[in-house]
Amino acid sequence: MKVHPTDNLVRTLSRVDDASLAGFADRPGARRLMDDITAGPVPERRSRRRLPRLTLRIAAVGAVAAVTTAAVSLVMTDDEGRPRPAVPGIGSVAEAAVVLDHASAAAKSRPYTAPGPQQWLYTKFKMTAPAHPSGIATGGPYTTKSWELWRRVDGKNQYAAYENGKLGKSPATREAPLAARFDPLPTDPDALLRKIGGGNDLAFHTLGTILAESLHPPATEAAIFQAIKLIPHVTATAGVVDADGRPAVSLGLTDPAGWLRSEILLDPKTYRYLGERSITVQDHRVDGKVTVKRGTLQFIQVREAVGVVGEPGERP
Amino acid sequence: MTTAAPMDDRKARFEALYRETYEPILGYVLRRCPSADDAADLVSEVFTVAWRRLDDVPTGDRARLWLYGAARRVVAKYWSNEATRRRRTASLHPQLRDEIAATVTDFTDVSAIAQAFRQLTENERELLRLVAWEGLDHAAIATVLGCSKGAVRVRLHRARARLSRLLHATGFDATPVTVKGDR
Repeated sequence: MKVHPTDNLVRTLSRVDDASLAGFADRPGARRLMDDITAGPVPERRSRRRLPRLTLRIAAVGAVAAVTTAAVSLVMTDDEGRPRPAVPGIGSVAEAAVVLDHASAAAKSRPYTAPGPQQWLYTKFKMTAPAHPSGIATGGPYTTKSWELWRRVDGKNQYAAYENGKLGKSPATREAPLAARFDPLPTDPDALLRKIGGGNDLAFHTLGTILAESLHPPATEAAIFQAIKLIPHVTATAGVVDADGRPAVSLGLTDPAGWLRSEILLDPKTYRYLGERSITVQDHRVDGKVTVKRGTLQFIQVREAVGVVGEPGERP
Repeated sequence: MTTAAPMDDRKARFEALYRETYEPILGYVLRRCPSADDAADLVSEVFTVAWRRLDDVPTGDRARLWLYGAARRVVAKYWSNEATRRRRTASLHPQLRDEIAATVTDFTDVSAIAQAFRQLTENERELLRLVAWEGLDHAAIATVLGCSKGAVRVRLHRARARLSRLLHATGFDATPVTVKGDR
């Protein structure tokens, strides 16, 4: 096929070149997506016109060992542990400032030992998300999955994880995962926020990931909390929410339309990163058809364990 | 070693397919969707379709074309009725979102080329994109779109001619880089 001059012009409109994505299939997010998909049910052969796949997924969930159906606990408790209505509050910016100041103070007084060059960072996460894999969740069924990951901390960007009972290591890559891409992290909150791309909602998520996937020196962790404080519209709720059985303080950003809130969950005593959650805070009509009730969980991710170890396969 | 069960076969086949096509499909989606959150969900949706319909996926390079076809439908649905519902929604695949976030930029291209391009119909645009962005030829495009090679040839000729005319109308010479005088 002959090349037409306009082809080259159209090519200039492209945002991303395939060549720049080389190696992306081996990254943890991509590999996890593959695992998530293949953990799903094997559909039977049948005609295209059939039951929605939602029902199929529920039927097969029990058959997959790694996946368990979960009645997701969304009970909020007050300071005395008494349950409160399940609908999460949005809270206020002022409350967020107080929480974040406490969090940076706590971070500064935390004991910290820098990992050595041969060491690995171990994390264990648990994620509860709709069994139906995309779009807005209008309710259950949810599936819960947990995974362990070892990440080399000497800048070599290598991962290890169990696959089918065998510990596998990824090849070391030049490209860093998001959590490490901005290393070294500035200890000045303004500089930190600039480095990760400014105070927008993506920065909020990026800081969440940076907290989730690493353990930071006290001054850095304190700067992360202060940087979150600089992002406009971040609010905190006074109440304590239940992060899958553990009490949590939530910091969150509510979307401009006011119905969906993305949260970073912190331990209310130590202010350590506990997890992330996305939940509706108002009834919302989607495409004029479906109503998503407020208090509908979109996903919750809880970091069950984190620590520095000597070898992949070791746990702290 | 135990005997491979059909489930293992299926999984192995999907994993090979995934490894082979993940990057071109991610590229396809990222070029058409400026939000990393949404792109992560769209990529997930494309491969979920492939997993569900693995028996329908052809072998060899035609697998990639089949997936482009699936991706085209997923992205088209996103831009029509699902656009409003998905935008500004945190991805269900936060790790994947983070992984691809740095590759996408949400900007409005105000160049003469972009403006002329926007005046084409979506079908014309997609045809030109498949040529210029995915590097597909007539036969491959025919497979992706599910139409005949002849139809692709005619429609592509028209789309290129229209884009050239639109560029000339805005005072832009469509042949700044002459490729062997072919115009």
